[in-house]
Amino acid sequence: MIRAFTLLLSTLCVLGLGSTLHAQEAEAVDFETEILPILEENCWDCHRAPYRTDSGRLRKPRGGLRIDGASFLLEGGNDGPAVVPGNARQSPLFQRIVLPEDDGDLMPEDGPRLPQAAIDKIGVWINGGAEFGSWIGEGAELTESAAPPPASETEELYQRLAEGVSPVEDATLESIRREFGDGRIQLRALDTESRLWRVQFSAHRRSVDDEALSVLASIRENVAELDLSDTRITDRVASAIAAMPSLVRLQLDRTAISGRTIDQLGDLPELRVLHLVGCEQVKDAQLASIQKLENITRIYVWKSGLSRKAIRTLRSERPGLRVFGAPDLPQPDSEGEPGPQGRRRR
Amino acid sequence: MKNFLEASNRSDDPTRRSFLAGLAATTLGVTALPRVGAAAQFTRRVPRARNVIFVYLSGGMSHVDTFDPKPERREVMGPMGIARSSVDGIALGQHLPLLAQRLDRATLIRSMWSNQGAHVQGRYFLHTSYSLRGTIRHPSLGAWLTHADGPDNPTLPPHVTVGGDQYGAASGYLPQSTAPLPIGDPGAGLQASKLPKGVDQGRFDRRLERLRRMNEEYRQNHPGATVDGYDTAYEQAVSLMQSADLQAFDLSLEDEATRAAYGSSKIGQGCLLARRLVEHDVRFVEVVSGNWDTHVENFEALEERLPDLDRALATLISDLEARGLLEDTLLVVASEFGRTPRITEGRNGRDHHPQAFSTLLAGGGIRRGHVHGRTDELGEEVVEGKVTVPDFNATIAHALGLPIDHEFQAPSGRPFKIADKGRPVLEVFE
Repeated sequence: MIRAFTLLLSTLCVLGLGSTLHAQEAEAVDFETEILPILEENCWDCHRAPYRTDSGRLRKPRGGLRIDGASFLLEGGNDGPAVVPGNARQSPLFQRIVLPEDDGDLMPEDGPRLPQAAIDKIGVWINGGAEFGSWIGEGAELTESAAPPPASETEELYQRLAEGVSPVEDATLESIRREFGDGRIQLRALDTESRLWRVQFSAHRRSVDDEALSVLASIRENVAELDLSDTRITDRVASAIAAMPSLVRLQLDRTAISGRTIDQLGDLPELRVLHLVGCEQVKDAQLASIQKLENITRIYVWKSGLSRKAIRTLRSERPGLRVFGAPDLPQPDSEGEPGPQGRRRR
Repeated sequence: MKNFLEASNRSDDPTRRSFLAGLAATTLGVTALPRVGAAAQFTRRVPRARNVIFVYLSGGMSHVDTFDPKPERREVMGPMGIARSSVDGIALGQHLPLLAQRLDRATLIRSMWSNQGAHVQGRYFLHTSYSLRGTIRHPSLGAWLTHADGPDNPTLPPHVTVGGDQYGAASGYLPQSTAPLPIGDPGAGLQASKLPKGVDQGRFDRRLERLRRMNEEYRQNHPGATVDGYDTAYEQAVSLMQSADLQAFDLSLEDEATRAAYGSSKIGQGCLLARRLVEHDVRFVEVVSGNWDTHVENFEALEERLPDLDRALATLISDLEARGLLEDTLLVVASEFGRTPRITEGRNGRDHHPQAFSTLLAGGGIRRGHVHGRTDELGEEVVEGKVTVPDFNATIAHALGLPIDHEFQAPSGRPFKIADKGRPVLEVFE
């Protein structure tokens, strides 16, 4: 609360306005007796239900915003909600009354700036949660907002894995970056507490060889996604990969790894996604090893050494596993025409 | 209450905390401010999308002829038929059969809403979530991603547009380094990226050094973001010229079958280029396709244009998927607004219609074979699951794990958020 007020105060200072807000911090503001009269007097001419003026002209609410009902204030107009409870700075209703004098967006549009006392009142009311009391005004009654949906399976998995490992120290990250050289490795935290990491080499992947994996030993428990595609690694890295217990996604596309690496992936309890595009040394002999990877849900094998028959076998024996082979590209000669399946009508 | 800077640390910078604090202090005017009010309810725990391919259909693509057909209503459809899709009970317009076959890999949003009915304003709103004003230029989503999360591949520009213009993707009030690299013709590759004839690397370096010396006095006399911006542009260009990944821009390295599958159209080759770029860890690629403003002879125009788009998008989805890129590449297909379901008499066309239109999302953790929202039986109004343009951008930003709750401050001192007051549509995520 104190922080919110300090913040509000600093905003007002930025905008060149003084404030006496801190003095009113402890007082609760009653909407109906203290705020509503200000709004009625200064805002309602332009921001209420459409009405006919004395000259007979139909006047619609400006900016699509009505201020004559609690639900309208919270729902807002063309620019979104007018009031964000608990945060005056994010509330257009407040923002627009504290702008500099020469800003065309300053409200009220034609009248003088609101008295400082009124501005402060509105700020305190919004920061205090923008309670309307029993007032509803025009429009719908307020309802509780829906709860956010539960975390997805992926999110739950990462959450569980994150709980099992310690955050990576900045010093550790720096030492890894130093070993590789400037910009040659990208380390990205996947969770909000720096426990799980994605490792990739982007521009420098072609210079990465088996040595690289030893440098990652210090964060081996934290690596959840490892992209080694297009690197010069060989089967000798298999044991280093197998020693990464949090590994969820492994990208080995277009590398020289073969069955010996696949055999060792069985030691990875959390592995879900395996990329083997262009791994020509992964052959049908590895089918059994792949089938033993119990937890994987997606595997990419286009241009690998796996035959079509092996891919079919994998699909039929592991129905829960999505096997991605060659792309179903549209026929090039059917320019503008429906593909063979596109013609199918029910 | 945890403040934003503590709660968000997923970049590879020495510490993201100090980066963000520094960023706010140096480029946005004042120091980063702690969050107030509700907790960071929309900070994603694990972002699934890393890169974005944003296919922007400029001019306002008719939703009822494409993503939201109304086969029961002849007065809406005119001569337009439908194509059944791979998702039960869902059809697309008849000229999108290839995409329809792959709809089981995408989410359709049929309840988009905008309040901007003019092209420039609508395009600006779609890209920035803010309405166009005279006093300020807002950053587009690609600039935000570049700014708040940084590049992955240090030798390529993180943000590229293929065929865009000034009211689309832009850096706005963010530093010049977040602006997109514009590519005009996808087939022509990156122009002027090789050393001139007879100039070797040594001579090139000496030229650059001379340029630096010539500029030095001016730079000292005129310090500021604009001058720095020019320097940044030069540095990025030189770094790009020396990049081993420059070949990402060269479509001639693709095999014939793939090039043919995408089609020889501009949108087809643009989508192929986009795929090559995200493959090399470029983070945000916008591909612009024009001429969707079908006020006159709507059906003839669409019959001519939609097959190219259909082929390009269908191939892109299949190609991204087989390469494993759909895991963390978010494909977005959007227009600034839809078109009137009522066919205009005499002109046989459709006019602008922002209050109901459709978009498509695929990959990057987006649900497969899902339809969000619904319009009325004519396609005129949203009746279920309304998604405003800021909500749509918040959804993309959320997929990328960007801090949509965070307030950034523009140089003028006013607070802004990545997608304004947009709220992510959580139902579209897996």
